[in-house]
Amino acid sequence: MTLAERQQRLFAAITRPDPGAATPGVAIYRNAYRTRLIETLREMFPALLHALGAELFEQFAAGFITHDPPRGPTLERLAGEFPRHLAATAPDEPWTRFILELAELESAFRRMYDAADPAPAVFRFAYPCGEYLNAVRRGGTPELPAPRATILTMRRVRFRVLITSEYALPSLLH
Amino acid sequence: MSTVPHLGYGIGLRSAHFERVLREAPPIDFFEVLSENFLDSGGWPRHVLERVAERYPVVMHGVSMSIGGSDPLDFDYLRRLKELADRIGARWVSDHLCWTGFGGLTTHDLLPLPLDEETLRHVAARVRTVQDFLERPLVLENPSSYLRFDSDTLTECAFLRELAADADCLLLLDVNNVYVSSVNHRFDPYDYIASIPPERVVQYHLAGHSDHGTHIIDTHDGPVVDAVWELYRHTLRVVGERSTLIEWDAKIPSLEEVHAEALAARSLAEAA
Repeated sequence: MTLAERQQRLFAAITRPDPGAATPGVAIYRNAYRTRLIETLREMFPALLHALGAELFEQFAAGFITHDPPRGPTLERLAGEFPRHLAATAPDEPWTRFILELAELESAFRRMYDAADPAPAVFRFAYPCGEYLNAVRRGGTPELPAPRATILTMRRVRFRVLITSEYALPSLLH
Repeated sequence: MSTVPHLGYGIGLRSAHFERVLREAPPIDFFEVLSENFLDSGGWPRHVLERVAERYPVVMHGVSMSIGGSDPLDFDYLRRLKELADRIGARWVSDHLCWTGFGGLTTHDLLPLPLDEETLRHVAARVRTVQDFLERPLVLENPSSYLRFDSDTLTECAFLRELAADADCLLLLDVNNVYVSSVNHRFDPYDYIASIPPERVVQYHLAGHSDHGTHIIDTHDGPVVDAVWELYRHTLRVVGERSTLIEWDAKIPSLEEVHAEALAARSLAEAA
C-alpha cells in the first residue's frame, strides 16, 4: 500500500460519523477530531450555545462537521460556514429565525474582531440578538427573547467589537 | 546548527494572558506562538503579537503544514507563514513530523506517519521544498502518538535522525511527547534521547499530560509530571541545554503558574 493509500484509509476511519469498530488508537484520534471541532465551535458561538443548550448545539455542530468537514490550515472557516449549515438544516420551529439571526451575528462578531480595518456593519433583525449576545458575553444567562424588530450596528473601537441596538417598527424591516 | 540562539526558558503566548503581558511586560525569556492563531488576524491578537515581538524573542510553532501529507504542500499557507515570520522577526519556525488530512480535507490533528523508507524520502523532499520557500531552516517536532503501523521499519527517533541529516533540518525535541509515546508504544524513552542527534536540536518542549492507565493523552492541561522532569534532566545531560518552552493550552492558569514551570526548567538546567 502506498503512503497516500494508507493516509486515505486512516483519514476515513478517523472522520467517519458512525462510531463503528475501531482499534484503541484510531478511537483516540476519532474522539480527538470530533471533540476539538465541537469545542472550537462552542468557543466561537457562546451565545448560540447558550440559546440552543449544550445537547442541541452539539447535534448541530456534529452534523455540520459531518456534512462539511474542515479544510484549510486555520479553524476560522468554521465560523463563516456554520451559520450557512444551520440555515440549510434547521427545522422550521418558532425559534428558528432567532437562532439563525444569532448565528449570523456571532459569525460577523468574530470576523470583525479579526479584521485588519473593519467598517461598521448594520443588521436588520426580527429578534433583539444584540442584547442577547451582549448579555452572554458579559457572563449573563438571558432567556430566549420575544420577537422585536431591531436595527443593530456593529463596530470596532480600540479592538473591541461593540453592538448597539435600535428598535424599529416591524414595517421598517422590509 | 550552533548558530541558533539559546533563548532561555519561555512560555506559550495565550490569549488569557494577552492584557497582562502587554501591561506589565513580565520578565519572560521568550514566547512561542501558535502560528495559525495569527494568520487570519488583523485585530487584537495580531496587535498583541506585534507589540510582544517588539519586546521579546518570539518563535513560531505551527500545526497545519502537514509535512508528511500526501496532498500537495499548501503554498498559500506557506506564503502567509513566511510573511508572519518576517514581520515579527521569528527566531525560527517549527511544525510537527505528521500529516493532518487527506483529499483537501483536514482533521486539525497531528496524525502519525508510517515510519519507513518511502515516507522518509517523501518527507525529506517536502522539507527541502519548504526550507527553500521559507528561506530558513524548518524545525520539526516529534509528536505524541497513539497508534503505529505494523509495517514500520524505523523507530521514530531513527526516522528523525535520518530525516534531519538528509533534509538538513532542525529538531524540536518534545520531552513530554517522548514520554507519552514511550508509554503508549512501550519503548524506553531514555534510549530515544540517547539516539537524538544533539547538534540538530534547537528547542525543547515540556507540558502536562493525562494518564488514562492503559495509555497517556498529550493534553497540555496541567503541570509537567515528575517522570517528564526526570527525563528532561537526563536530556540536559545527554543532549545539552537548549531553549525550553512550557506548553499549557487548556485549563490555563495564571501567568505566574505557567512561568513557574519555565523557572523550574531553568533551575534544572543550572544544576545539570
